[in-house]
Amino acid sequence: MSVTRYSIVSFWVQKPGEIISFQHKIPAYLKRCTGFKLSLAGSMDSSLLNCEIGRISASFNSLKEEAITANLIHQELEAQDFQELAVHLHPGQIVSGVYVDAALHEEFTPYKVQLYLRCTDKEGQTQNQKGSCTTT
Amino acid sequence: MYDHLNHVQQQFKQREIKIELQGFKSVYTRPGQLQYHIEAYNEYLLLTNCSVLPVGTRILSDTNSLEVKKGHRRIEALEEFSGQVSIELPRGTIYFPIIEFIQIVKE
Repeated sequence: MSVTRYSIVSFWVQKPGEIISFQHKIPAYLKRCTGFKLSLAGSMDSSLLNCEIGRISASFNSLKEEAITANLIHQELEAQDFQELAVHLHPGQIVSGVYVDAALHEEFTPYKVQLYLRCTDKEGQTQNQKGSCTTT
Repeated sequence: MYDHLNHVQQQFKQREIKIELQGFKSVYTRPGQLQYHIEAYNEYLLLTNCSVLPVGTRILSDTNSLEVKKGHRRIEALEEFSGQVSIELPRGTIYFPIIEFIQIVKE
């Protein structure tokens, strides 16, 4: 039986236009990443609903695979879902990336961004073969 | 002081990226223009003279982004950009540098 684990990369954006670099290690026993979701934690001004808040890019396997380029859009929770990813993970390697805040407005409130990486310990698993889910 | 070109060769070998061409690319900035856009699709641009850029300069790309801070004047590390690359000089700058990159075209 395979397991699915959710690795979370989170960071605070403290000022408009801020650029945040991150590095993250996925546990070595996980073999593939099958999806990702970018979300806002906490509240944000409702006037920004459906607006682009920022942009993220991330590479896997210590800069060997550029796999994620995505916009963070302020949406209702139910509208958010995982986007597909098909990355074979090399054990112990680094996920690294950068987030750029896209704020153009004067009134800025710090916010937290969370990048969820859905990974599995099974080689070649498809989206429809998810196992038990645990957040780590 | 380390050898930039040697570092590039080693790192791309580690990343299993084969290099088709290694060259240089420069962006000449000038008064009256604060934004510049260059394309680096299927290639990498490694910024070599970050230390001479005005504080507040922003370089945004599909894979990496950077805002030059005071501390960057002492850093020798190479920042790498790829895809659509946008360079924004800070408002009010009176210094318009030549921005130099090592260009790596991959196989």
